[in-house]
Parts: sequence; structure tokens; C-alpha cells
Amino acid sequence: MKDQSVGHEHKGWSTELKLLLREPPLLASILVLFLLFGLFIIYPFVKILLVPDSAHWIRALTAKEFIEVFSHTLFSSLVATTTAIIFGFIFAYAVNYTNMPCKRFFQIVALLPTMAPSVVTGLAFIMLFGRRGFITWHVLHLQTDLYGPVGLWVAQTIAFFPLAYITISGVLKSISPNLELAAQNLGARGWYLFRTVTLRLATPGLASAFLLVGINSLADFGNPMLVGGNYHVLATEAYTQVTGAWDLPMGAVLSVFLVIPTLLVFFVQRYYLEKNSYVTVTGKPVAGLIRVTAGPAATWCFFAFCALLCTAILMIIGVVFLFAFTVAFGADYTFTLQYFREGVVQSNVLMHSWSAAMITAATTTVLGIALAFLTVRKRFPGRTIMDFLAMLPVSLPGTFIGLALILAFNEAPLELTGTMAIIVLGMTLRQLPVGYRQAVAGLKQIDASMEQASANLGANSFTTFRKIILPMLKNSLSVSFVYAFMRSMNTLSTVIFLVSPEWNLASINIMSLADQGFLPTASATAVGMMLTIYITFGIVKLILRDKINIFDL
Amino acid sequence: MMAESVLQLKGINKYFGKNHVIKNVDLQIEKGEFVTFLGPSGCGKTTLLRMIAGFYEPDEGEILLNGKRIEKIPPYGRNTAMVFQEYALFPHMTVFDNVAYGLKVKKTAAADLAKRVAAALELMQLQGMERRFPNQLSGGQQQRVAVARALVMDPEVLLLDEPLSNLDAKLRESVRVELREIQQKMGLSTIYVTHDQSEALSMSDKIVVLKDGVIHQIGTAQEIYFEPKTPFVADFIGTTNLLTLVGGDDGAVHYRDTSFPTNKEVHSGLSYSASIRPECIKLAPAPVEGKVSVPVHIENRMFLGEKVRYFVKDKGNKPWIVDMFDPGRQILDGDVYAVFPAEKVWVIQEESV
Repeated sequence: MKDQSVGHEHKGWSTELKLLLREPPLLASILVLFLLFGLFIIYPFVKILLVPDSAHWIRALTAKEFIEVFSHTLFSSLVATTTAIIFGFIFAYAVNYTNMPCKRFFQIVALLPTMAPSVVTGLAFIMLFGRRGFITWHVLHLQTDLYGPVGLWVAQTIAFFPLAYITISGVLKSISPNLELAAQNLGARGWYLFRTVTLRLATPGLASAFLLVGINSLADFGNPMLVGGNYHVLATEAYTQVTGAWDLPMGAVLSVFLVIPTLLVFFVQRYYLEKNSYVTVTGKPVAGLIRVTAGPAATWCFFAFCALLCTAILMIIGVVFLFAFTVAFGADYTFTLQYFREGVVQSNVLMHSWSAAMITAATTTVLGIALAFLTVRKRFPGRTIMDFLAMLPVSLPGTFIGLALILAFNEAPLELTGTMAIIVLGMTLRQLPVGYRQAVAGLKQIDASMEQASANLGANSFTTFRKIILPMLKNSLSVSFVYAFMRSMNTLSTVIFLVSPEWNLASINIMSLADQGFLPTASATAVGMMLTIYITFGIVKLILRDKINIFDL
Repeated sequence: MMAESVLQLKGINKYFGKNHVIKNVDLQIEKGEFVTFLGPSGCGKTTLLRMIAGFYEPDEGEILLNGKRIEKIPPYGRNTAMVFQEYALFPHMTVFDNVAYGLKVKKTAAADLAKRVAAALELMQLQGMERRFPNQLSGGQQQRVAVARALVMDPEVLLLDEPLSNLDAKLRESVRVELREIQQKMGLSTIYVTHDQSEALSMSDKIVVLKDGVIHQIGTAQEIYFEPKTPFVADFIGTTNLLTLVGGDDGAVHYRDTSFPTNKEVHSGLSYSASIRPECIKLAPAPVEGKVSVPVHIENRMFLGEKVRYFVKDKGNKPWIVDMFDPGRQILDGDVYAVFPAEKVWVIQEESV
């Protein structure tokens, strides 16, 4: 993070410490936060490293089965990431650079999967293309088996396309239209303009998006679990080791290996890509200017591509609804509410998911703003460490966080396994970076002079925070609240190790139901989750009276 | 046919949604002319420029470049190189590549390209900077690269969109002189957009004064300064005192108790708006024979070095501004007379009732 001028400039560790000692409440809150970080981030992660002994490490590195798992993981995520990025780029380019019809509709459809449980793509894949899949079996009468690398590739491409699209769309939007106008003014057009200006300017952002999607597909658990078949990747293998072979240390080793590439990506992004971005060198976008650089033929190609992709997404969501509300989709199309009753009304998992996600959203939002206020506006020793720790979980796979937590908190005095607390803890760790980053971005947009003006007019720090900063941050805070809620509802990997028979969650339930073949009930639960998310979002929107749009996330 | 019109705008109208931002603009620009679009922000000057570059299409009207209609031609098909306000240098290219970009698009032969880029860089005094990236240059240098990038295209008409607004005041003045010299040396037809009247007055062959999408006046710097056609022009260019005069029987005009002859034919009983510049007025203790003398009271004064600016009010409570140059240490006070020759009063137009 770049240092911003914050009223008084003073350098040096000792001066910072001296100033800190003059403000006891500030000092206390910093110490409390560091204590929380130490207990809930550093301690579990040290613990997970200490549980396995050297034999485990050696076996993981030499046994043939594990080497195969490594290569599967790398290969499948590389392939899926590449296609997701290509699809995302074409889609984002079409949305931002053409005047194709149905643009708004495409934009909304592309984001639907982000609002559905992460297992939905896998679930829909089974229902459409599985051994008794609607398309493969009922329509085409094929006896194929797409479980394995191919199925995984398709499911992950669709699953991660929205993330690629959102990220790349942001990159393209940040390119100053003036640069493209200047190139056109100098005679460049079409492909040449795209190649020499747009693509070159987008490259750092594209690399960043590639890494982001890469991390997510490396750590993906739901899709490999449901459609991977015998094609094991690190996340599923770690799970199998823990739940199947009761080999907790081996599971720990594998999930640690999963962390290595994601941590690497985290460092590359944080310390290299952010410094080499062109995004900051932009002019003001000009009102009324449309940057349409694609000709009519290209526009129709883009339209066809987007239409195809959106059809696929709608099919995924649609088939879940159809399975949920028909007796036996493909054979008996009679409408029924039986599965909905089983999966939603008579089940308490949705309520559990909802409560855990709500608590998580509230916690991460509050914690995020507190952390951001300290790291952006205050100077104290350890500030960069705090920033680092708050952002670190973004790069940690959910399975790793879950495993670390059950290893760390399974005995007194901090016995949390089997409780709702450990579920909320896992979700909070996972979502904290999102809340923190939103708050940092929001705070950086508020000029420090605004706070100085408030102080100058006689308000103390607390009043300033409450009357000036909070109202100005309202929008970005509600965005991070909704986002954290949604992600926590939908997550599977983070909570897979944390749930217990007493505290089961909807996303886990969908997976196990699907695994056991109860597809309609799984679908009904998924529908219930989506409805819960939309209704909650609607209520939040009503309460906050905000202009936030879930489709702008 | 009129000789040598490089660019002609005929009956241009442009709407942004319901906003009518350009209203019936007609304009001719001759070869080698330096024309400035001058007006307050939001007057439509940049919109007009962007229409010439092809970034907007006019809703009505024609744009002719060397007699050919171009309003439907996309921006990359016109040779109208533009210098952007924010320069819009390509951040991922060196200075050399930035300047060479347009020539590469046109597939210029390597040797010719190198020669022309070198010439453009030399003209803008950028030798030795070829390998640098835009973020390694100062604002002034970036501005020069932007100009070089446009000049190297040898455009039919060079477009400049407030190119100096991001430079500091000192630099602005020297770049102004330099730009004008290069333009004259190359005989480039140039359109320059600015809201800064001193830039417009000092550089232009012709100034187009715009307000709310309407051309108020087209003329040389002297014409728009001394002979404004609308009260807006009189007020916008420099500082002035706008008076309401009433026509008399004998072709003279009346202002309160005084009457004096005028440049325009006036009709008895009608009201006219007129302008007199602060520097044309002197303050005197008594009325002066042969000049117009208006009794005023000094309300306030400002010492500005080369002049003293007086804020005075006449008997009708109308405020005037009077500049006294080379004032020495004498500061006037109290009741005096504002004295000026009758011919310095420029009658603008009949006042609409």
C-alpha cells in the first residue's frame, strides 16, 4: 500500500511509538487486533505446519499417487483458467466495446452464477451431462461418462467465467477512452488499434485476472468433488485423506502444498503487478463518448458468443429449478413441491447457513472498517504487518483454512470444533480481505482534509468517524456486507471440515445429497439458497435505502 | 467558389439527449489560419472540435475538408491530428513509439519514418528523450510529445484541445509563443480550443467566440476586443463597462445628463447597449472640455503595480471600473469625474425589450 499524506508527516519507528503511547484507546485497539490475528490466523497456520512429521512430508513429495494429484491440480486449473479468461475477455470486450443488442441482459445473466451456491455448476453438470444426464441420456441417448478431466474442465470454465468477466471488465473500464480516441485520431482502427493499444494496456490487468482466477480454480473443491470422478486434485485429495483414511496429518500436508502456489500468486500480485499497472495513468472519461471500435460483422460475432454463453448459464440455473419442482425431470414432468418441502421447509440447514453468513457479514464489515481506518489513517509500528495479515486470507484456499482451524481448536481451553463459532470463524477469515479492501478503497477516496476540517470545527475522533466517515462509506460498506453474506452462504470449501451433524450447512447438504444421488432434493435446496440470498438482499436494500446494485458487484 | 477554404462547417447542430449543445454553426477556416474557439466551459467548443476530429457525428449539417464531406467518415479516416487536453500519450510506448505511432499505422517506410520522427522531435526540442516513457517526463515535456505526435502526421488541420491548461503559468506563456512560431513556419491550418482569453488574443488569426452552442462573433483579436458584436463578447473578452444609452434626435446618444456622438446610426428614443473599456477612462477632479464627463463617487480602489483599478459609482448607482495607468503614488478619493473621448464608446446593439 502506498503511503498517503495524513496530516502530519513523521518518520521513524520510535516517533510512531511515542505518538501511539499518547493515545491509549488507539494503542489498546491495535493490541486487541494483533491479539486476534495472532490467535486466529498465525496460531492455526503454525499449528497446521507442525502437525505432520517429516515422514508425511517425504511421502507427499515422493509417492506416485500424490505426484499425480499435483499434476492433475496444476493441469486442470491451468486449462480451466485459460478458457475462463478467454471467455471472460471476449465477453467483457463485447460488453464494453460494442453496441450489440441485449447487452444489459447478458451482463445480468453472466453474473447469475456468482449469486448461486458454488456447487450449482457441478450439480447442473451432473443433471445435464451425467450418466443419467438430461442431455446425454434423455435427449441424445448417449452412454458417455464425462466425469473426470473433461467434465471438470467444462464445469470449472463455466464456474469461473463470471469472476474472469467481472475482473477483466474492470480492467477494460479503467483504460482511458482518450487513449483509444488518440489512436483513432492517428489513423488506427479495428484489429490494429486493439493489438497496439487496448490489449497492451490491458495486459497487466489480464495477468492479474489470470492469477486471481487461477488461485480460485486451484483451490476449487465443489466441482472436482462432484464431477472430477477419480480425477483427484489437491483439495479433494486432502478431504479424502481426512475423512476417508482418517489421516489428518497427510491432509494437512496436502493443503499446505495447495497454499504454496496461491501464496506465490499473492506475492506476485501484491508486490509486482500492482506496481506495473497502467491503470493510474488515465484521463477523465468524456461524457457522451461511446467507444465502439468493433465493426458490424465483429459485433454480430460477439453477440453470438455472448448469447451462447448466456444460454449455457441459463441452462444451468434452469435445470436446477426444473429438477427441484418436477417429480422426475426427464421422465415425469408433474409439478411437485415435495422436494422443496424436504430440502427447504423441513430442513434446518438453510437457517444455519443464513445465520452464520449474516454474523460473518456483520463481523467482516465492522472489522474491515476498523482495520482499514487504522492502516490508512494512522501511523504505528506494525502497520504494514497488519495490512498484510488482513489481506493474507484472500490467497488461502478454503480447505486449508478449515483444516487449520479444526487442528488448532479441537481441545480445551479453546475447543471450538462442532460449534457454530468455528464455522463463523472460518467464514470470517475467508471474507475479511473483501471487507477490508472495500473499506480501504472507500477511505482512500475520502480526502484526509475532510477529517481535518471536522477536527478543525471541534469534533473529536469518534464524532468525526461517526458523522463524517461512516456516512461517506455507507455505500461501499453495504456492498461488502452483501458480498460477504453471499459468499459465505455459497461457500463449500471453507466449511467442509468445519460442519458437524449438529451444525450442518446448506451448501454441504447440497453436495452430499448430490453425491448420494438425491438430485431433486439437492436442487430444491439450491433453489432455496438462491431465494434466501435474493430476499435477504432485497431486505438489506430496503433498510439501507441504497442505490447499490447487486449486479455491479 | 471561395479560394483555399480548408475546412467548412455548414449548419451544424448537435444534441446530447435533450440538450441542444451546438446550434446552427457556420464557419470557414482558410489555409494556414490559426483559429481559436473561445468560450466559457460548457459552451460547446470542445464538442465542435471533437466533431471535426470525428469523435461525434453532427445531427445536422455538413463538415467539408478540402471541399469533401467528411462528417460520416470515422476518426481514423480523416487526417485531423489532435493534441488532447490530458495529452493521452500511450503509457506503454516510448516517446519515439508514441510519435511514430500514426506513421506506423500508415505503413510508412522505416527510413522515412525515422527521419520524420526525428524532425518532429527536433522541432519540439525533444532530442535525446526518444527512449523515455511518458511517466518519466515532466508535464511540459509530455505536452511537447503530444504536439510532436500530431505534427508528424502533417495533418490537413491540426486540432488542439486546451493543450496548455495543465502547464504552470510561466511555461504556458513560453509554449504559447513557440507553438505560434511553429504553426506559422509550417503554414499549418490550426484550430485551438481554449477558455483563456489571453491565449486566444495573443495567438489567433481569427477568434470564434461561443456561448451555449451559439457563435457570438468571428473576428480578429482586435475586432472582438474593440468592436464586440454582443454584450456577452464585450464582457467575456477583457474587462468592460456595459452602459445603456438612449438614442437622441440629432444622431447623438444620451447617458443620464450627458450626450455625445457615436459610431452607429441610432434611432431616437431606442435603447442601446454600449461598452467602454476601463483603460479608456480617466478620473479627473473637474469635467474636461471636448470629452464625455460623468460625475462619479470612488467606492474602492486596488493598487496593482502598473495601474490602479478604481471601483466607482455614478449618480444612478451604476458601478464602473476605471483603470489609471502609470499612477505614481497618487491615489484619488471622493467625488470625481469619469472622463473619456466619445469615440471610445462602442455601441453594440439595440437592446431587446
